[in-house]
Amino acid sequence: MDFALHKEEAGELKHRKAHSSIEQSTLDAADKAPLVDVTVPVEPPEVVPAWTAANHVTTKKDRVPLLILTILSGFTRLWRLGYPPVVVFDELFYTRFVHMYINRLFHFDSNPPFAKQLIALTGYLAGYGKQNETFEKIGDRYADDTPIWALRLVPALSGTLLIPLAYCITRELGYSRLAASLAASCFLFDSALVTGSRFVLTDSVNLCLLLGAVFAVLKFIKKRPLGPGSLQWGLLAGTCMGLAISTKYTAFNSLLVLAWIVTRHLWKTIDDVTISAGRLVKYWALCCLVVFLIPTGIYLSCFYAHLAWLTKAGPYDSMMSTRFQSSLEGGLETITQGQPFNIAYGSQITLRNVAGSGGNPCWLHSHEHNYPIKYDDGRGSSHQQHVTCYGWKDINNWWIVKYADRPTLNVEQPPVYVKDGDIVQLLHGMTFKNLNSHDVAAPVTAECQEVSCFVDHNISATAQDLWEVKVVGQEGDDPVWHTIQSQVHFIHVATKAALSATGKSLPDWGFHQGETVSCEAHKEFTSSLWTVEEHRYTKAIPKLKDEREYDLRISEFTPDKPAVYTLSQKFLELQGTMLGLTKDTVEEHFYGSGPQDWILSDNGVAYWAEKGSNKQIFQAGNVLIWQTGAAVITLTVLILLVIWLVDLRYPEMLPVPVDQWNRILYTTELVLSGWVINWLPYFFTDRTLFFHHYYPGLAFKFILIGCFVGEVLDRLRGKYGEIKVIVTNVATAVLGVWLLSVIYNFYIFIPLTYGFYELSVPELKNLEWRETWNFIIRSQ
Amino acid sequence: MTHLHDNVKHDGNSGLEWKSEPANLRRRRPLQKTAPSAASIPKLSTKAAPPDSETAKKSKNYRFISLALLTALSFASRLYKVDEPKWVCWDETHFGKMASWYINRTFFFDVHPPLGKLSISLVGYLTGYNGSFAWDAPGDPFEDHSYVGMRAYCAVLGALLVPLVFETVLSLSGSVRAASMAGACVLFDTGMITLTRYILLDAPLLFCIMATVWTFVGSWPHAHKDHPTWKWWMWCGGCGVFLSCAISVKFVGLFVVGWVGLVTAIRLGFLWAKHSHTPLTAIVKAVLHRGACLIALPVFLYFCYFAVHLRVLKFTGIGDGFYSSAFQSVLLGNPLNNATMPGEVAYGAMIALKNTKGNGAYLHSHPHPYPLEQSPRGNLQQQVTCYTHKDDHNIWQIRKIDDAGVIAVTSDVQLIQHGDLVRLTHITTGRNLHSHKVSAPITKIQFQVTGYGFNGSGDVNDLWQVDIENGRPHQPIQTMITHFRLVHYATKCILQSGTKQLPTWAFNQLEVTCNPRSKKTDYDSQLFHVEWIYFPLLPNITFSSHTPSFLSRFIESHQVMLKGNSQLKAREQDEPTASRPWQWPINLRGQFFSGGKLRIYLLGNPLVWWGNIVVWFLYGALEVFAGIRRKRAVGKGIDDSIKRALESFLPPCRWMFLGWAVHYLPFFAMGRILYYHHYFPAHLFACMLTGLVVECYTRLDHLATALKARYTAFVG
Repeated sequence: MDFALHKEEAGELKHRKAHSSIEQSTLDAADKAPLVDVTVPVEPPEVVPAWTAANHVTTKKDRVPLLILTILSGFTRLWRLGYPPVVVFDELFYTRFVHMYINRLFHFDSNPPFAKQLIALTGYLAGYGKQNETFEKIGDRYADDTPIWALRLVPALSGTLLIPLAYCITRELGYSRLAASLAASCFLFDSALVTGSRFVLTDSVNLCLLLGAVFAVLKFIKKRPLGPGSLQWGLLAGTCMGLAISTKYTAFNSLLVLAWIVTRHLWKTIDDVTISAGRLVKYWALCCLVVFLIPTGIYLSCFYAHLAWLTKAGPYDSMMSTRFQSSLEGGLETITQGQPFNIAYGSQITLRNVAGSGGNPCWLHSHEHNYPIKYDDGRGSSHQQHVTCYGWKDINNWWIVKYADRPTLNVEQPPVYVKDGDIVQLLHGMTFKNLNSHDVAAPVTAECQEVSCFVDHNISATAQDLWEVKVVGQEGDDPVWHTIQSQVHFIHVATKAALSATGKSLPDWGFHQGETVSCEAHKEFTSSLWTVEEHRYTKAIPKLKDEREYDLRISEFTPDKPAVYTLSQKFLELQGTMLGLTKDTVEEHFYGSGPQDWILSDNGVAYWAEKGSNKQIFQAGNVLIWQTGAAVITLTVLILLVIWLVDLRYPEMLPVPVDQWNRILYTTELVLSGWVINWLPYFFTDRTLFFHHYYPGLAFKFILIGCFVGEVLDRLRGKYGEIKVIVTNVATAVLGVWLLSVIYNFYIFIPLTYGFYELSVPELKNLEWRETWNFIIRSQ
Repeated sequence: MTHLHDNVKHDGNSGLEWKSEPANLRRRRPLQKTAPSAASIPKLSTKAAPPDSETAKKSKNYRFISLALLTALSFASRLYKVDEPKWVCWDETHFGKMASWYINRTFFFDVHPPLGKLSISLVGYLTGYNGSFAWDAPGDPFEDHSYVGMRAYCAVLGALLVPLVFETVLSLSGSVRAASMAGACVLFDTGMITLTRYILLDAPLLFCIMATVWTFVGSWPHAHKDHPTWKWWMWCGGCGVFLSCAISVKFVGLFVVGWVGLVTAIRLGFLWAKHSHTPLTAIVKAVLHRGACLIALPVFLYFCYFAVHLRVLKFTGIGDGFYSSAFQSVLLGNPLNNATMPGEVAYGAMIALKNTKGNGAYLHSHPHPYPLEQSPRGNLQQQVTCYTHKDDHNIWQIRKIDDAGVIAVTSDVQLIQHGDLVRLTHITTGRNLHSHKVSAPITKIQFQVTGYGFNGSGDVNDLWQVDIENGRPHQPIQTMITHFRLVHYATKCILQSGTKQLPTWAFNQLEVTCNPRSKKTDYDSQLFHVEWIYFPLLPNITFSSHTPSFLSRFIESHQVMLKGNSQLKAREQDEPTASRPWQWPINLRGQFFSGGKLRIYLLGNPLVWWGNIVVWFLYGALEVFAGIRRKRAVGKGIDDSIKRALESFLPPCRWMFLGWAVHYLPFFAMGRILYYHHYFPAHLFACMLTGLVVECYTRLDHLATALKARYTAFVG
């Protein structure tokens, strides 16, 4: 064990000496030979390139098992697809989205749109879209003329395709037909996958595209770089990857593995000195295209189509900013179109908080109720009028922007626009009191200042109701405060605190409206940013309150410039909201599950239960397959560890042919790490997890079962050449028994997988194998 | 793993790339399976000649001059006006306070292990700080309290980082220039200076990490195949000592443990590999020796530090409530220390219920309702939580179910027995402990627990059955001793205190639920015991405290610390100071240490930090370049400056890069609140990497010449 390092002296000296002695000779060599290409005769390296190794291709002999498996899977997935004719599980969302898609209504979903687009297209071709659906709760009947079958066709076909894909991938990794059939059978007979792909859900589409990408990548890296077929398979791989990530974000982890596989492959191609440097560079460019450019392009195009197609306002608009909403037909646009673009002194406005209250929109609000003299905890208040952030459109949301030093309320001709840094007063439209803040602790967030409505506007202004307008994020140096497009801070002049909504609810006395405070520390938060949503110029203010109310209700808008919001801006905002939303949900869900449950099928999801009976659809894995999977993973990891250690020290003890090494390596790098990356990171994820997050991991696990069995069989055959017949027969018998048990397991869960008929209470209780499976049991 | 394996399998001389054995030794061995080519002959003639004694002397001088200069500058920059500002800066308010508590020997709770604070307190004690300053808030002036000693201690530790970095890089690469470069990066980093000049745990932590790295790297040249030399024992034992110090200052020290473990494992892997020709016995010995130095010794020391910590803090203090009743009973002055209370619980008694598991909290309620969205039936009921601090709101009266609504102590004493139905009334608000079939706020699959009713009157959902653990009929509840569960009578769910924190509307206290589907794993969090009782009608007895052993106190301290650490969630009010890991290396924003007249802002030297980022890419390019050279067999057999530079610099670069990654990447998986200063240990490794990579590039002059020649040939 000699870990001695270069002594500094020796190193320095050698360094210098070396120069003089070999400088000339290497210079000559460098002159003659290009740096990367090699002219010195070098024998080819021992590495056998991947594209020559284990080149199993699906041959004619594969047709029979493939055909049988595909027909069986088609049968399990497509059998009575239209049943039950009610909303099942998350169809509540997805069918609704599809319905809205066909009707071009904008909707918000935290996953990308590709699968919904595909389903919408099929649905549209089958005549869906005009039906009047309610989508209130799971179990609601679809309209009579809804082509349920057509809506569920795309997910079901994708689910069917999983089986041949799994077969081909296992073959492509270099395993026998038996192994490939086993892997495919795991997909075929897993009750969870069957249930998961029979309804209007996007998971099976996602999984299918993902396996397609895996298959294409495997094909791609076996082709000789830039040789025949290389480009085609590369393009297919990139397309599948792009479509997969445009379907669900859960595909992302698996795509990382694929990218890694391609990178590793590139690294290995360097070994092959028969490929020239120029060709290598071209090949790298192709790989970059496959792994990065095509997926990104497809992802962006899906969103382009999404935003370009959905032009009408729908019920989910309030998730988006005011600017976004105003760009949709029939929503906020009908109110805001034609309203004045620049805020002037005398403008009547409603102010929407940018952060909102707990994710819901809210508007600055006041009403004729005062803060309680004393709070429950004994603190006192100013006993002035509430200022809150209210979640509904209301006449009390109107405010008037007023000069700080002049009593005039009408907009002058020409209008004097409010600019960044101007000091204004905000007058509440209905009660005619000024927005005011002072050194009194706020009702809930006691470290901040209370905000109230206080001085009547015709009393000379005190310094407590002056607000400085700070316009942020404006394009260019434009200082003018605009409707919809500007975001502004209101800084209280006397105390430098910023007007902000805390997102907390007031107690009973405040009608549970959102708390509004002013706080210096909140300047950093989006909760202190406000946007003008509705806007008009005041012409003459009636003195009487009733008249003012009438005036506010009927007044007309003066036409002006419409708001502009480009598709790319919309895309960025939508993307931000989608990624932001998935971050915040930490609450536990009834059917949420975690990675610790995903090993032995401790998770289960009730999809649907018929009212008044025990007929139900419950998604639970095929326990036998899952247990086998867990055992296989454990064994694989242990065996690989031992092989690796033995091989490091006693390489002669493991005389494994190179092509079989490649197959073990690829199985490890692709399948095993594919499972790991879809399982381990979820331990560190803070948000609510569901079983569908694990689908890709499940797929890799099933393929690994096939690979493991194939590897073991091949080892046995190689080792015991003479008694091959006996070994093969015993192994086949064991596998046969296992497969029959799997099928039996699948068979007894059929009532729960498909929900075709009802089980009695004791039968149900018998099947409740896991403490965590909560079947819906109604005792008759 | 596959990467390594791949090399071994197909590449005749693989594995070497990770090994830093002397180049001449390696070259002497014939490369396997490669026929000697014409180009490989000249290498023998260029083998290193014996070092010229004059040159050696000269570079030795360089070494000492550089080291002395860097060290002097380092001390000067760290200690200059270390007493300024004369007020409390940033987290000094915490760690100073803790020093006071150590000096006054009052018990407290902190999420960090004790060594850093203990050493600061010791220095404070020796330099005349008497523990009387309050350290209330940042900005409080020290006046005539003696604080400079503690500041100077941290500053000295911080100043020592520079020579440590210098020596580490020197022993890794043998290059004075690389060492000076790395040392200068640390020396002139403004962030390092700011972070190590105040009474914070970061200076001891950084010092311990760096000392670990230095001793660890220093032990490598002294390792021998058969028997370790005494020098090796010194270096490796020192490494073990500093390792234990690093984890005992802050748990971030675990990363350096991970790094040392990983590197040791890889290096043992080299021994194991066929090429090293190490006999099995030697490998076993090597494993045992390293285990003794790097596992057994640190573990033992870690226990020692905690023994000192628990010994020193013998008086009751503000941290008691976080700990179990048994733990508290050891602390002098705690009400539970030689407590006198009624020994059994009777109807009408005022009690405080504590969750029995190691770090359980008190059953608590307060006059705030659950928010509207948690109350689907529209009536806002009072929150019930678990709270770690002792508080009046933790007191409940245990009552008969048929009592009229008023709270009064009945005159006849009737003990509560196993299986009894009781009501629990919250004293300060008069609400009953209540549960109903409404989802709990976070654990949606369990029921919500509320305070309900008025002045003790309630409904059937207030009834709880006492279920003593392994109880027999008529068994009474004994104070402190009996563990019991409360079963909700109407729904048969069981009262349970989770570990989940409620949002700000419940002041981040712990969620209390009623669990209708109990599993075995929930059992622990469902047990409660009576920690405090007031009932004048029963005679007080003295609890002969069943003193917990050191080991159980040690384990409990860790349970509490772990829980505390995981509960440091990012809350909105902390947002301005908290940051996310991706912001750190780009030096996006720093942290305020002090406002007022002297403003102090922790911010790295942009040149150093952004330079480090450039170096990551340079390092990546170097790896790719070396890989392509090896794979395409460029310059095979030619011993030129490129080859030597790559061979002597790439292995240390890899260790440093690994160190950087181990100290940085895990933060991405952490849910707790994170600050900018968490990056500084990783930054040390980044600085060392910078020194190595830059020096390696300067030695590629041969490449430059070759490229130039090609360029002129191309142009000409």
